[in-house]
Amino acid sequence: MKDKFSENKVRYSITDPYKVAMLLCLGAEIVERNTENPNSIIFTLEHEKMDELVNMIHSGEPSDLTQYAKHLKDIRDYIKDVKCNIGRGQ
Amino acid sequence: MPYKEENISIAGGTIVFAGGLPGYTRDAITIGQEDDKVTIDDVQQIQGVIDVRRIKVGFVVKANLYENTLENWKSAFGINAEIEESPVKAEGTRLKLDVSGDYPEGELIIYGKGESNVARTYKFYKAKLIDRGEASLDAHNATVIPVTWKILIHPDYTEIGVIDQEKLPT
Repeated sequence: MKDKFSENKVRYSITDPYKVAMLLCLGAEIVERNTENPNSIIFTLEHEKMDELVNMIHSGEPSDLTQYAKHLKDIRDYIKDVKCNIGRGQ
Repeated sequence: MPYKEENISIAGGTIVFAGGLPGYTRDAITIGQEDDKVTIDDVQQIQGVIDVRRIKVGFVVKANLYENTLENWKSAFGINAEIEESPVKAEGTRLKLDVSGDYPEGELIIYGKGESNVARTYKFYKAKLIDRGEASLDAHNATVIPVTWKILIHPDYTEIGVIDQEKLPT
């Protein structure tokens, strides 16, 4: 799902945690998390130049991924929390 | 539709293996197929080849890891020990050359490009880093670690992987 808002920011929704972590490194921000399916959580990210960020990753030319491990850990911890809470019936 | 210039793509890719980033690669990332075949050409009644049948198929991905990190050494050489703080040097790290254990295994994803500049993702559910060349320490060239992943059958899927495509977000 991709929408353009008045702030000229482009939204991009994906379930791939690795790509989310890379996009966070490149400056995108998570604006929404859809946990209807806890096994496939949809993260919606936003950035003015989202097409350039995604293009960087798919061209093998991401500018700076030094924070990748940290972002991936945070995402995985979040996914784990969601699944634990679902298990508790919350 | 054939003969469309935009179907020719020139682009590299980003590799994620077992959740980690090997980083820069030298030369091309290659995706190939290894297969065995049996040729049926020995019937008495007809000269020539009756059929060629595939009896085994597998995919292989190769890359030359260009980043001389301990993480890449650990992954490429199948070292199961964790990278830890060095006991001999403040703010240093150590990788023990543990020679036990199996080859590293995990999901292998390559983010690349397809025709008309689409974003293409190659996802292999289970890959094993089974082979590596020699990592050279060279005063005149960068250290390169050639690695090979064998794509395996994942017990939860009927296919070994998927290729997904999408247009760049606008």
